[in-house]
Amino acid sequence: MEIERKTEKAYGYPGLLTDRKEHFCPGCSHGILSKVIAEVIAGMGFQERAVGVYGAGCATIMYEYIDIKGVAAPPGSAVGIAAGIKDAMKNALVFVYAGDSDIMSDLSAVLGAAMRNDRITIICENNFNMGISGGAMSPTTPLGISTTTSPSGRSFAGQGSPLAVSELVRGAQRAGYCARGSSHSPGAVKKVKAMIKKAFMEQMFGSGMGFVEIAGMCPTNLNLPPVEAAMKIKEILEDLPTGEMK
Amino acid sequence: MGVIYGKGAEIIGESLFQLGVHSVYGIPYPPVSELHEYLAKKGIFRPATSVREMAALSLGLSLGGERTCMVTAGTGIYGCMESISYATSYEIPLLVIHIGKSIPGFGNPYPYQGDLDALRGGDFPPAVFSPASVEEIPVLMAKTAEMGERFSVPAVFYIDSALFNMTGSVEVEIGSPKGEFGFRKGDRRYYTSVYLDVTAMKKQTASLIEKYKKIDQEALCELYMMEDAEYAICAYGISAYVAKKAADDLRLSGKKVGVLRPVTLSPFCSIGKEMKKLKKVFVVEMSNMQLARFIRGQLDAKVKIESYATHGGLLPERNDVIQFIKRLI
Repeated sequence: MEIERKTEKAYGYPGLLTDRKEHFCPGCSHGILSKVIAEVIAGMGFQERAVGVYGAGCATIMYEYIDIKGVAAPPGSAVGIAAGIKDAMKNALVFVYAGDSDIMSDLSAVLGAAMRNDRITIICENNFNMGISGGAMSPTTPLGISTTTSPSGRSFAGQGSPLAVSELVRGAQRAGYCARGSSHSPGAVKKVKAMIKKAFMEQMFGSGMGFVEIAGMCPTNLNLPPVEAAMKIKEILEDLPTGEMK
Repeated sequence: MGVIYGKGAEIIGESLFQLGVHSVYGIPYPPVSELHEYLAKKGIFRPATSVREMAALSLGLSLGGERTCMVTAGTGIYGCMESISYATSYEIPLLVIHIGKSIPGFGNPYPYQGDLDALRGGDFPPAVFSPASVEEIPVLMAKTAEMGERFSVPAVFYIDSALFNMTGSVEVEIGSPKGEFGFRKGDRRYYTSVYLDVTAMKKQTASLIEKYKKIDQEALCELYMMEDAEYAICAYGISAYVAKKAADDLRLSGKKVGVLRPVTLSPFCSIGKEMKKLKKVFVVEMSNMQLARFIRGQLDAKVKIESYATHGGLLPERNDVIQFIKRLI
């Protein structure tokens, strides 16, 4: 008896990603997350309504890769700009995609959006350093990690303790969604995809502002091969709880 | 709305409301708080948490295609300069109401005109309009918004704190049809100021240079009794208000004095030809000779300039100006 073989396409190049070759370093999380965001938006059918506001840094030209409306924001201003765009375009799906340093460089904008419960989604790719600067220390750099501006390793006495951005935002929110995920493994990326979708749903139909922090790899600046960089992120996350925050 | 009796702050607020401004984000520090209070009564004020956030929110509203404005005073303008520069690069309008108060630092809330160089600085300064009376506020506000939208550039309404606090009965009946801009215009998929390729950056800069040549032709200047004048007073804002009163008195005493008042400080009217026939130009201002230096650069070296400047929040006194001019004529 001949067995009938049925095949269906389980994976493909996301339709919302442009053909332009991405400039990110091998093993960098930005490439993974651009694909995840493109897949979620396309899956929800929001490509016409979506506006991405990209923070200053390695991912500032993300508009070249995701085929939706986009803005390359000034440093620290992505959240404010997104909130302004949402005020003007109530039906749009407006999200920020920015690094930890960019978000931290003007926390007043994040706190303002939380205060007003602006219906935007903030996706913070936290790679624990300032990637665009060639690996300078960021406010989230863990203790002990060496960077170009903390060459002997970050110390409590020297540069102070790292900020836990999701906990900070959650503390300021009266409504909305807040979660921390990671991109160090396929399973973690799958969870992140669900978090981004949930945050988009909350923005469009639910309780308002969403904040999704995603721990990401920056192998170039961690001076590690990509796989070891992913293991390093897993190690860092032992001190930072992942999942949805209540 | 018709005629309203109120302070400059309230007249600006009513003008913004009639211009269809969607939302105004800000931090109600004095002296701008009175304007924010008026806008809150109209339901269009929303709180921001910092000047930088206010600037970013305003930039976002403009990108979204809605009319908005940011309100600053004194050194607050420096926190908005980054957004003004990005709006220039994105080629979107961005309306700013800036109140001139005594600087440097906090200084005091009393009137000053010390921001002229800051507002006019750089390769591509915003359009800057300056009223010289409370009655002029509505029409100039509309012109400021219209010019910003027509050329897709930031535009500043620069008013000193004397006019901001001055009371008057003013007819506020304006309407300036909102232009299409930002994502609502639908002609661009994205807005960026990143041009890593030098050739692309050069092309963008060249395009802006061409646009600013056209903007230069939009300079506005009020000439008051200048036709047969032998002497001119050059002033803007409340200083021009005082200068006109002084010129009236000087004319009555037989001195051929007129007033040249730039309505737009950027672009600045070309005054070299007008001033060539003059014996002397008196520059009246509330700053450390910022206007006088600028005028000097525009005039023939033979035309003598005398500067009358007040500082610290003191207005130019009409009689002092008259005595100063009489002494030097």
